[in-house]
Amino acid sequence: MAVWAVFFAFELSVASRLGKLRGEIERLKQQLRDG
Amino acid sequence: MEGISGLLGPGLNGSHGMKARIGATVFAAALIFFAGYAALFIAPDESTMHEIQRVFYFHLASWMAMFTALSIAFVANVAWLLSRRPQWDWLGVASVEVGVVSCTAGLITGVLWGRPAWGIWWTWDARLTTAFILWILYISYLLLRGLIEDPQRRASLSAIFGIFAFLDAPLVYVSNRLWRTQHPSPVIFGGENSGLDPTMGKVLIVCLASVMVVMILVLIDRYRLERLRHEVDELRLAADARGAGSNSVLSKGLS
Repeated sequence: MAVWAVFFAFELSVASRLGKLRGEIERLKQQLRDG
Repeated sequence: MEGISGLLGPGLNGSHGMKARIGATVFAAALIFFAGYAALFIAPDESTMHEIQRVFYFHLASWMAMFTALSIAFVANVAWLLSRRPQWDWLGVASVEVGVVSCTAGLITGVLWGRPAWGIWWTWDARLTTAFILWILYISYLLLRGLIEDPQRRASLSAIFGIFAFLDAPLVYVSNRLWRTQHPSPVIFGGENSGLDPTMGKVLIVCLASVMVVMILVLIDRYRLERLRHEVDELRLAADARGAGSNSVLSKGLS
């Protein structure tokens, strides 16, 4: 269980960082489109 | 390198990529469930340590996952220094982070096992000390990357540091062969009196497969994160360049 808890916590942190980066990419693309 | 990029970073926007990912996650979940069942109910009771010995199946699997991830990082670090392709740097940092996570899992399961088996949580014998040093070295690698702004310099310095840190990995492996340690002697490739009961060996293979599959899936996601980070940097540069261009037009108009 300890092994899965460590991997699960890490995967959650990766998913959270991925979500933030996807949001940032959308924002920057919109900024470039708007000029 | 395009092959590695394609393998580790398939897009999830397409239905094929999403289906493959869902299939892999379901497979990993089934493997995790079966590995847990096998370790608890199929593996025979060990005569001296009894129930606590069942930690061994995941403890060893975590270390194997760590050695695999850090070996990938070592190859990526060398490849970055030779080719300067950013994909190798992404793979290097992704593998190190996953290696540190596997190492943490190995240390935690070791401590959980050590207390009932030895009566102490921790001891500074050769195996535990070299493993702890390895963990600290790779955490330092990740901290070092956070301190350097320039991407090229960051990639080069961390690659050199990563190659240096990897020197400790074989030392961890051979430490309980070279020195007398509190840690048990190796049960696999450990010489004449070593070896596993055949059922224990099969359970170990299932547990090893489950941890490896999870490690690879996490590594793919972590690599994808690094690729997106690179995309954000490029978009920021493009946005800054466009901002600088419009400022320059504005200042020309004013003068």
